[in-house]
Amino acid sequence: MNLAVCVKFTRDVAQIRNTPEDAPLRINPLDETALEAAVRLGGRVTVVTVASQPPPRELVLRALAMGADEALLVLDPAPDALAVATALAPHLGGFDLVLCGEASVDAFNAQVGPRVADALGCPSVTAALALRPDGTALVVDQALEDVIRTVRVELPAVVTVCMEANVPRMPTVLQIMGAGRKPVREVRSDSPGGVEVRSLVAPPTSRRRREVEVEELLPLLGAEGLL
Amino acid sequence: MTVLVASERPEAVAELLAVARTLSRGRLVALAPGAGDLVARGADHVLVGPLEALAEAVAQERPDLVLVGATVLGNEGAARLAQRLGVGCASHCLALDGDLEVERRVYGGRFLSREVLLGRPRVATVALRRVEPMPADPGRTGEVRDLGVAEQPVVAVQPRPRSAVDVSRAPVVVAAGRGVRRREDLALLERLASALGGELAGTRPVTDDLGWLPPDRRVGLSGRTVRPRLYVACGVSGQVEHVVGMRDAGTVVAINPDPRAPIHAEADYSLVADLYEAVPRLLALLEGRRTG
Repeated sequence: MNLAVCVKFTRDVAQIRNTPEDAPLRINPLDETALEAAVRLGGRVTVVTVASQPPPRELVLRALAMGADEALLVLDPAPDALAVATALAPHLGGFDLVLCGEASVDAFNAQVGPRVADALGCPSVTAALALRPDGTALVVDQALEDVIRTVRVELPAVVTVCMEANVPRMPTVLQIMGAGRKPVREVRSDSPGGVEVRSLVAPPTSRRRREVEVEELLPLLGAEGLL
Repeated sequence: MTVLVASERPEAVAELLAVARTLSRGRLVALAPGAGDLVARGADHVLVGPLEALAEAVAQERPDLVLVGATVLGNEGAARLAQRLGVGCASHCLALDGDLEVERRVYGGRFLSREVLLGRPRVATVALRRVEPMPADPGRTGEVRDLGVAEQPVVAVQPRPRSAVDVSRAPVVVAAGRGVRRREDLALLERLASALGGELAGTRPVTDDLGWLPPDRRVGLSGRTVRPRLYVACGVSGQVEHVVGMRDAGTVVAINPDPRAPIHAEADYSLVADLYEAVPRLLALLEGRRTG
């Protein structure tokens, strides 16, 4: 099988102090899950990413070390999901299966996977827990809110994976060393966006932060009419 | 402005009609799996069909704004539609106002982003269980039409464990975090929830990793947002992913023995104590208040 995994390099939100730019970049956690799922399916795996600037080489190497065979970097200012999907689609036509993480931890849109599917004119399945090849098709267990739903889609298709799908591997030293020899291609494009961000604010916290003893708590809650 | 609202869940469609009505005095069209009481709840026109019919519904009704319930299937359908139309889409919107600005969480919930959609129609998915549907008015009239679009066939459906209650509507919530050492110990927190007149919920480790509580009791970014009068976080560390689900609580009590746990910064009252000591003591004191 010829697989593509769409990967985004995002800020490590756990390390944000005041602004997102404080934090280092990392591979979007759910895209690591997607890459792991691709490697487990077997076949040739191409990692594809859209970024406004070339991502740090060590992150590209990490993706290759996790089991991808080659990487394609699409350099495009692509500010949002519409632009990213439009930038990706022309490069994904030859693949049997395209995998992505369900959403990126920074923008949290959960859009690129289905958008790419529409652009390619093929089916999409989001929030996948498990994937099993079945001839020319793929059987996918999908985590919906109330049910786990099993669907069968003809390939080519786009599948996005949810956090519970697997635990991504830690590449070994040998794999990291070998990654440097795998091909990395770069192309450029310029895709228009569909959303404009007007402001980004950290919600203010106005909690009282009062430390109390167990015995003091109930009278305080009682005084607020909460008991 | 004509607004088309859509979801695979009828109760979500009713909620979206209420949201649409705050944004437009114009025509409201609903795409839903069945007509139900949607005309009474504000739809001028109901198109009966699955989310697979979204593009068809848009082609027929030509709305200015499309609002889809932010479920897994809703987010997928809205994204596909937006790509087909060559427009942007704002997902998981918490609030929508004016003409049209949306508010949504980004960066793991650390920031709120206000965004506008370029291009027409505007497409957005809306976080559910935040707005009440409009009261049913049996006097309202409206058209109902079946679009005749088939739902995607499925191989199998397996229900996930579900709770009898919706924690996002509970007046008091007691949340269980990683500080709970064994599944059986949840009974202690359940008693606290009962004594306070509320419901038990949990953080992601408790609901999803450990499976000690059903996923619909998960409070957090990818779980429920709760707005109780009182929120008691027991053995919860206070990761941003969880905190975004309870930020709107009236009063927050945190019980965590680590004084540096992030949850204490999100609390009104902090008990720097182990829940295994604090909760039985609270239960005894509550019992004392009741009988004394």
